[in-house]
Amino acid sequence: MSYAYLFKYIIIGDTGVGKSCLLLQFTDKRFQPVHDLTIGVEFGARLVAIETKPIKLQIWDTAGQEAFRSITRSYYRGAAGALLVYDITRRDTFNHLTTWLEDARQHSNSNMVIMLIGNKSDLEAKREVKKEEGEAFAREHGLVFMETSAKTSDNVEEAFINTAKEIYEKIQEGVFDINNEANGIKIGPQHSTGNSSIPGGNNRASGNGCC
Amino acid sequence: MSFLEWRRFNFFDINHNADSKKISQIIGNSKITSTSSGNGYLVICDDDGLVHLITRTFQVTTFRAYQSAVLLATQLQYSNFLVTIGIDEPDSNAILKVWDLERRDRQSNPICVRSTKLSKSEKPTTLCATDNRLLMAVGFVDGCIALYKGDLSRDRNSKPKMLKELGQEITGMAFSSVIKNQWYLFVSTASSVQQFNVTSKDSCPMTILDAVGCDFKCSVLVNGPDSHFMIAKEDAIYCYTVDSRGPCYVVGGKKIILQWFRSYLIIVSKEVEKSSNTVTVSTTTKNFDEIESVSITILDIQNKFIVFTVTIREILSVLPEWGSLYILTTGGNLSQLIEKDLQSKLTVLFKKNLYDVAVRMAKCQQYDSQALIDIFRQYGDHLYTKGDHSGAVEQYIKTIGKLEPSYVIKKFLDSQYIESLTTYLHALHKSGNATKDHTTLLFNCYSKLNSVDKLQEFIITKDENIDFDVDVAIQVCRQSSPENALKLAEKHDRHSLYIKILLEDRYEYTAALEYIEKLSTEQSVQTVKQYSNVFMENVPKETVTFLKKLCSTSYTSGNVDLSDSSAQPEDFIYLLLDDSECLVDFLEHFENYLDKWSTSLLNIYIEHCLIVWKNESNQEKRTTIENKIINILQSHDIKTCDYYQVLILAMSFDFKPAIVYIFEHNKQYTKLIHYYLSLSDYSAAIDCCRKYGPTEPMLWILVFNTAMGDEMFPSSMLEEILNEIEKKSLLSAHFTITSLIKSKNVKIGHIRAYLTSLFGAEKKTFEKEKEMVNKYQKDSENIKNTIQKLKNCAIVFQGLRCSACNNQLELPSVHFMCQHSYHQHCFQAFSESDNDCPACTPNNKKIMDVIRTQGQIKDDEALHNQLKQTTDSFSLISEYFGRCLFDDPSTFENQLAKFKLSSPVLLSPKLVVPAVQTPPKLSPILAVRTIKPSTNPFDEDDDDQMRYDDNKNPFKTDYDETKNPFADDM
Repeated sequence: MSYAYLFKYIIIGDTGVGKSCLLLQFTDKRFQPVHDLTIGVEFGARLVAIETKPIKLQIWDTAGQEAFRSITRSYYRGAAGALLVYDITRRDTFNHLTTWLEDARQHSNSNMVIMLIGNKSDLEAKREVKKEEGEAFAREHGLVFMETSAKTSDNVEEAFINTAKEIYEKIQEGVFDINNEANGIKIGPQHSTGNSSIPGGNNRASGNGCC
Repeated sequence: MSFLEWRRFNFFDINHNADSKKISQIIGNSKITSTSSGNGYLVICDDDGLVHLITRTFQVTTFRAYQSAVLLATQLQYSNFLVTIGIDEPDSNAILKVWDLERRDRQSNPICVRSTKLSKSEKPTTLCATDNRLLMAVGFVDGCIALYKGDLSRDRNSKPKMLKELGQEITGMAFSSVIKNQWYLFVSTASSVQQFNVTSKDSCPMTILDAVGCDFKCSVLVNGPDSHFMIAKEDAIYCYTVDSRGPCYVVGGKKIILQWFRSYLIIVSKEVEKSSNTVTVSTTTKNFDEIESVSITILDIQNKFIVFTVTIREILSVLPEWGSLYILTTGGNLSQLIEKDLQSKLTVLFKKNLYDVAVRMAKCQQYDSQALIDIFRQYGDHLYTKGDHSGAVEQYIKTIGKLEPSYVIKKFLDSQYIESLTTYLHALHKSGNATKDHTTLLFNCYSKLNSVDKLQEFIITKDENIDFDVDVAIQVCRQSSPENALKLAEKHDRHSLYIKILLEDRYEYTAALEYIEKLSTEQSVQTVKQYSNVFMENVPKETVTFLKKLCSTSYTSGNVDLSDSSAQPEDFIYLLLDDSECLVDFLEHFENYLDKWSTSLLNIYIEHCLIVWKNESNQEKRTTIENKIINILQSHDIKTCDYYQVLILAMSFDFKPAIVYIFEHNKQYTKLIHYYLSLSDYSAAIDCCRKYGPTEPMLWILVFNTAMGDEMFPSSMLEEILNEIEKKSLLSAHFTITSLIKSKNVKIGHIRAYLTSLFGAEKKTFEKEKEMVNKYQKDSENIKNTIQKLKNCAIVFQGLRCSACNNQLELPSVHFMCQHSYHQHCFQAFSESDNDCPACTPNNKKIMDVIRTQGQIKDDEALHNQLKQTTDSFSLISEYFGRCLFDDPSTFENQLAKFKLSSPVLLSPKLVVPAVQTPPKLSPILAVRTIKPSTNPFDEDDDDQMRYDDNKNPFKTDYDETKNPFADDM
């Protein structure tokens, strides 16, 4: 389980848009048609490779219900990436995006990479939100956009990995301060020392490095 | 609203008053200050300084630990040590004591193995220790933590390490070890959660995990692979790992106690909304008295449901021990919560038709696969009765491998469920549990569903995971769609079946051939052998072409082993036996590899060449074939070519060139001539004689004999034959003439030359011999005269010189009859004996030796043996005579003696004795002649022209076996 970086993600969006299913598809590669409501925040992890570097993705899957909003909000902090999900078969989930985005921007650090995901692309017949609309929204707010299907696993992998790539690029550009864990990025145990390519990646306290 | 989203079940039974009020009696009016459990005890401490140990059978041991009060107690989970903190005297620092519960004193009270006064006067709030007894921490009300390291059961004066002050009272602590030998201390305060790495001796770095905190007893450590430190807040339960936040579970209500039992989270909380009877809602939770009505909820975190909930007044603590949970109230009432066994839990779930939950739970609890499958089956049955057939099949598929497939198949046999059945069967195949019947059924399903595409997909995409009986599948497919059967056969290398389908169902012979061509040699040979008859019947030409290719590979491949694997032309000959021309054509394809042909193959080839030759009317073609055969015969060495076989073939087909060739090749000239003569081809016979006569003269005799018996023999040739016979003296003239006389058609003209030369030669011989006779007569006459002279006349010794020194002879001298004279001194010097002439001695000695050895041979026995063995006893006897072997040995010896006694004549000046002595009977010369070995007394002369010719002797030892016409084999 060695990794070069650990990225923390958060998945947000209205209830029932398929956040948990996306996570399940990404981590376990399976789809559960009947899924209990998420109560609180769930947790998943998977190791991926970006430019041959092993990167651990730690993903918080939040509850979408309004009632849990206060709890989930506290998880924005310390996330390097966010997947903002809406359901293409439900217009209202798309309409709520602005609220979610405001919430995310407000509670997260400014560098967080946000990817807009239009889920349930397999249900083309019931589509209510056009792909173009999603694209337009993403453009407008400077997000990356993608339509996925947690059921067929279409684009699921890409959604998570593309986000990771973007974060990785930002690290390379020096946008992220990787020493501040509040950014949701952590250097892997054995990479913490002597990795000169990472700006500022030097004096990590050994106590933290081995956790 | 708090547990709105969690499913509710009742998986626990509650047993009120589990202790029959024993505890409340013991405690009496004291107040319980601290509780703990572990290692078979429930530990209850009160403010009177007493500690009560309760065993499983609720026998209580009470001992006084402190004079004043016990503040905190921790029973180690798996060891017999109890750690307590209490006060002996008011206004002094609290004392930490460690008790060994195994060792008891006379009053059967546990022995205190350590007693240490705490270094701080502040009130300790929390206490925790690790099971290995190496780490212990005490939290204080001012936020200090005293960390004790080293064996805590030993009373050592080691100073505790004081960790960083947190400024707030410590509400919870727990040691956790995620990685081996890495210890962390989770600490919670009212407004923060942090972690200390207490592994190293010197520094204990702190990591702040969150800025929220919890109350007393509202934190718990979940040990296990994903170890979490949980804290309960009013809105939710938050989890922390050693390095970061973990998940959170939203559970409302004001939590009082958080506890962990097996895989359950136990939450004791105030019913804020509901409990109208709650008297006070205290913001400070120091006093347990204030809690009046609370509910206990048990959560299954993994499966996300509430497994038990009950409302109990005044819960003081929840203690897991002896496999169940004990709830202790402030009043000392103990209730037991017993978890239902899995089967009854599952029954509950089944009743509610929550099969998926049941499965999940069963899996969590390591349920065995058989039972799991039973759940799947029940689930399937349930869905089936509900009419959700596809869903049912999905469940049934999970039972594959254990559940008898026919159970499922029977349910779906109705044609309307055929789709579900197909899905099931497909899965059955995928898992490799399908039998032949299942394959058949599946294929039938596909054909019934008319989903050829699916069938094809099944066939084509079949990978290693899907296993089915290919042969059966092909059989089934064959009936419905031969194309699929073909594809299947091709995919699975069932070449023989593939060909069979092609041939028997589709009659595509050429295609079949093409297919075979693609196969490996071994496979194609097998297949072709199997179906060669069919091919020959339908597409003979293509078949032959194909066979040619196939067989030539076996030659070109280099290693021609005679195993079945390679294609041998022999294997296919039987196909073409009826059509010689075709066969010849086929075999000629391999002409280049003639040297690799086997004998039988060659024979067959020649045989069929001959058949073709016989049936061929075109003279030109015949000649070509003739040349071909002869070429083959010539080009083959005797090993591969069975000449006798070929000879028989040639004979039966009257194929002259081959017959002649083989006879010549085998040097069976006699047979060849016989053959010629039987064909009345006399000139050829004569030619043959001319050719081979020099080495085998008997051929001439053969021809001659035949000529004598055969009236058709052209007499013109007789002359040559006779000439040869005469020249080589093959036959005695007498025999020849007798034969000639017998012959009816011999004209004198033809034999005149022969006779003339014969008689001429006879005459010459006669004359020559006559001369010889005369000569010998003269010679013997001369010898007789000499003997006479020696006997009767005087001998004059006229020698003037000494034969030894060649000087003038002087007296005294010695004279010998042989006309040698010596000085006496010379003679004495040279001679070995007095009687022998030194000059003649060596010669005479030789002669004498020869005579002696001849005499030694003489032995009657040997002679008789020899006579028996030899065929020409006459010549043997004559030889014996010639060697004088029959003479009386005594006379011979006498003669020898006499000969020796011929003493020399000694002439001295005084005494001259004329030596008148008996001369030896034989002159030395004569003796030489007579005893010459190997000389036959019947021989006329040494240089006789009529020498014995070895060649004429039929018994000669170096007789050439090959010339023997009776030699049975080469």
